[in-house]
Amino acid sequence: MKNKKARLWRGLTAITAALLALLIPATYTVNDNLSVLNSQLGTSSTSMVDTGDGTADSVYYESEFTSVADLVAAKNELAEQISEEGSVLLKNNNDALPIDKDTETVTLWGMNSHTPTLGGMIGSSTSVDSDQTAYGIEEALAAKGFTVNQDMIDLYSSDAAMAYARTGFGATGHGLTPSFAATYESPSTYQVGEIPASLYTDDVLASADDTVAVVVISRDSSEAADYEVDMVNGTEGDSFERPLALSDYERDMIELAKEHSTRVIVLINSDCAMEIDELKQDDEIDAILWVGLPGVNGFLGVADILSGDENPSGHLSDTYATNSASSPAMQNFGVYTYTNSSQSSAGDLTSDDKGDWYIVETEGIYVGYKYYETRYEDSVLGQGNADSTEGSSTGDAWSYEDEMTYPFGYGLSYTTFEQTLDDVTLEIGGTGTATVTVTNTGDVAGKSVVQLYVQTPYTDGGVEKSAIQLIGFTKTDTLEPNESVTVTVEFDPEYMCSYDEDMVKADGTTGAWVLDAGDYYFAIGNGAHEALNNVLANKLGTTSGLTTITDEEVINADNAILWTLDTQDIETYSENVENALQNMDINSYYDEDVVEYFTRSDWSTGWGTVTDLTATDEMLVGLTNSNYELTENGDGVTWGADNGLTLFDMVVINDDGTISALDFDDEQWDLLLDQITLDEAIRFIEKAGDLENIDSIVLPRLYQNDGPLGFTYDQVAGYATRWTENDSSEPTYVSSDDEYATESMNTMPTEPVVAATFNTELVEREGELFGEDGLWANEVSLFAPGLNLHRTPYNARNHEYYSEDSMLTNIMGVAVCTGGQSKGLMMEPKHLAFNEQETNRSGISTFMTEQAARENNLRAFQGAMSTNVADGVMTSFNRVGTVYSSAHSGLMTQIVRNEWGYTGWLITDMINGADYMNWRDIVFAGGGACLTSSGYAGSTIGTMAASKTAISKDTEFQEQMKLTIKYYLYNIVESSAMNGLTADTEIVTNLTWFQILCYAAIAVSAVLTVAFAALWLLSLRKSKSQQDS
Amino acid sequence: MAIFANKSGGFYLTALAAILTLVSLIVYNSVMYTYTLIYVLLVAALVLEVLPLFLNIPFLTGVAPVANAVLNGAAGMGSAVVMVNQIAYVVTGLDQMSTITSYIVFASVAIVAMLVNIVAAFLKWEK
Repeated sequence: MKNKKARLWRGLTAITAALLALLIPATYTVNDNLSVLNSQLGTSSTSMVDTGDGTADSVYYESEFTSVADLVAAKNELAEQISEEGSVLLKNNNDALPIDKDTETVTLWGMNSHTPTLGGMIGSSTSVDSDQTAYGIEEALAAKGFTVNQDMIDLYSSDAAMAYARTGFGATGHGLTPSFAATYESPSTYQVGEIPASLYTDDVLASADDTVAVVVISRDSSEAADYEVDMVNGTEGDSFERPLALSDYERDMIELAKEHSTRVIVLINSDCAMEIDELKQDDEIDAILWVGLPGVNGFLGVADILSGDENPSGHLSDTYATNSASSPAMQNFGVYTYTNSSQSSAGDLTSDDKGDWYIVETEGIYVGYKYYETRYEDSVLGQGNADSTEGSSTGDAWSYEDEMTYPFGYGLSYTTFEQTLDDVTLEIGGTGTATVTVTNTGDVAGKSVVQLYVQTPYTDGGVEKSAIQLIGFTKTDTLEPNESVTVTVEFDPEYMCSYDEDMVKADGTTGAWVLDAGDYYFAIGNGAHEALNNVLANKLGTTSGLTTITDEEVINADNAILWTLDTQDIETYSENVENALQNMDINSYYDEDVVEYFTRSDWSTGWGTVTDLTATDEMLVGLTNSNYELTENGDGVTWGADNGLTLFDMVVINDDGTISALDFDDEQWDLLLDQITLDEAIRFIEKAGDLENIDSIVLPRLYQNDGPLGFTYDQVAGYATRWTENDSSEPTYVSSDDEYATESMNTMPTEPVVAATFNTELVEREGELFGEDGLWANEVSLFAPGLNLHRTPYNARNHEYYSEDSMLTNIMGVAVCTGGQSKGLMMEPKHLAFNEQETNRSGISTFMTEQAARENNLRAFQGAMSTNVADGVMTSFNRVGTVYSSAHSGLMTQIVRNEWGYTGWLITDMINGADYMNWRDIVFAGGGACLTSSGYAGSTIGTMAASKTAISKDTEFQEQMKLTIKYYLYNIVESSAMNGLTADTEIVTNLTWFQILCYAAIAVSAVLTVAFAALWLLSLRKSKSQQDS
Repeated sequence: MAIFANKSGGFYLTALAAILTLVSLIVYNSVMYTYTLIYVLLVAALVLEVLPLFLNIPFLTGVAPVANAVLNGAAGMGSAVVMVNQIAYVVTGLDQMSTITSYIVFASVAIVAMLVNIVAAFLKWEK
């Protein structure tokens, strides 16, 4: 092309056409992620218009506060109280605590006193706004009027010391590196962050003389990360035997503290149970206080405990074993890869399948104290080879004394209490009640926790039974010295049952919740071990041969009560129950057993690590995501009908002004669902992360976010984030210029601290304040609480879950969800189910016995789901057996719906593997809607929208789609989302400013492209005609 | 070589664009989430960049720079459709940078290829 002008026009055409090529997909991406952009930019694509006379009352959930300031103050106060009641005093020799803050000076020891861990990373982070204070121990002691040795603080603040601070993932005070990516190797390093003794100068050490040492030992927590036994210390020059054991630098620092202090108090700032037996046994360590990860304000409560302004009343929510790796569960934790994974030459799996890994939970039901205490009883009774060397940390015969530092449920006070188990009554199919008299026998006022445990009859070779299990608890009000109170502990006898996978019921189905005939012992105690000792003393008639591991434990046979069941009961708690998780047993896939599960019949067996499994053809069905197919079936379903209904027509306004939903089976629901178009239904299910409006039924645009400490800052940066000016008439509207507009809401203590309060009133109150946050932040649901279990201390996400124990988790889950629901907030616990390790959580196959699945992991969820105080539940990334959790109909439909009667909705975790977390399998199995969807376009089955034609021919699938949406709508009409809606409300859709900008740019580019192209052609024609002439 | 005889900037930049498109095609294969349409766009661009180098058809050499700029641009931006969530995870600290590194390399190369084609559109094919 020799025509200069033509080249100019061609070049300009190229520019504008290329711009057009960029703008069109960019605009598509903008529209595809409109909800996210709206939530981040504070814009809205819709507005609600009241077409009535404006007199209708549309506030169904009213705030108890008149301002955000009042709410924030209440949350801060509650957070402080939770840490006061959730900190656990483990040791207090010679009344080393409390500290007299008026006369004594405190020296904070340990680099991690300067950079303590307040929360985790990602879902339970503790980011704060610039004008908020995140209280570490330094700030808290200062705020509470302690005199603190500034020289030591200056040392830790120095550049030389800060060079050792944990700084992983860009945050000071964290040494773990989270990863959403698949891995074939265990994480290799962990940075403890302690400084070497050489940095302590003589002057600094002298400044600590004659002061009280408060030593901080800290470990951090994170989503998407785990600890591993064979990690090495990432702190240069330091080392440890295991990451949850003390490091050499920490030991050196403690020695210096002992040399230069009047007494030494150690704070354990970790939600992962650490190895602290050496601190317990060390007479120069005067006190140990577990504080966990206390959130943004929790250290203020810890300071009150240290000063004695508050009396500790917390009890451990986890077992503190002497060796953190000594449990059966630790035998199989980490990275295990199928021999025919995508990394092998077999080619059975691809990386897109995300099916390369597995874990076999060979421990069965024996998690946490259920292992240590059961083996203890068997060692006392001389049965089951309990004293074999297998599983012994010392190499000698196994002994409880060697293995245990502080048992589950243990905790001390500045006063002493006497508890007497007066009576236990129960009715099978009804309720149970224990009556307990509590007396403050010390000289300080305080609260006492009453823990009720049960031992159920065990037969050698029969169904596995824990020797002791928590079944209920309560906490007294503050008791003055010599004051007595009689309290009751209510419990549900259903949770005394064991699951028998082989039991055939009267209706011929297999699998039942069983109450065996025989002796049941109910016992109270300061922790599981004292309760079990009380049972054994009662059962054996002697305390001889029983072991106590602390000076404070008391064995009292009278604190155990025998209750006898004459006839085995397999029916009362087995309505609609049948085996649904048999495909979680790895042995079911092979002709011969490949795994030996733990059994109390013989504690010397089961200690193997399960490696080199080969996925069979049957397993590959789930691993290659081939669970379901769309087919042409049925007579079709109705979409887009004009029935004249709105979502608000499903609301029942009660006499007291509260709202509830029309009965789930009311025909009106079907008529409403018929109005939704197939496109709307597809969009709703495929993009359920941020819920855009459904115009056909007048469903407003709604928001839902993480997490267990409150709405996380990276998703909801303050109370004003989710409001637009259109909402300014709402009573809880917060404008962008409000003082608290950008206040962080994720400030509460982590779940292990909450659980350690053993105080359901506090936890329910926490739920209420989460609900208040929802009202003031225009958020309708919260992905919380986390209800997975602390299967091992090495799961770095334990901070998002309450406990190792299913019943403590169950009861806490009910309490917090009840509180949230009372304020109209949809509480959405996570992650259903079996997400007990973070490594390769995306796609990992989890195997275990159905008994273990039901009695441990699922029982933790059962309370909140069977009572429907959880309005939604987030499913897990992992596979259940070899089938992705949300695609497992046995779990999602049989257990959740048929057995538990759950009427809440289900939603996946974010789509992090679009092939295995595919929408088709999820919907078919009743696994809910999909949290995010950007990966679907690149997946094997593609987007749901692209399969619209195939979907429209599959009646069964469409009916499941409707059911999925119905569960959501059924719950949303009982939530605060109805605030602002009346029967006269209409949705008006509008373009946002950035959409207008995109469309305008496209129009301009298109016009210019056409114009330049025309000029280009004209030039060419002109040139050609000149050449011709 | 005869193929280079009497050639000007447009020719050489189109050749460069072809190399860049080939590189982007290879890199795209290692991107976390891929989209079949992007492969189609890239292969089409590659064909339209390579053919004029060997077939001296005026229509082809005239249209190619414009079409290629469009194809490379559409591929670079279109690939974001399936990567946007992953990018957001990294930006918000949910995931590591390494998960989107290859995407960034791909998108950058594709955009550079687009720019090279635009410049080529202003230049002569032959001296």
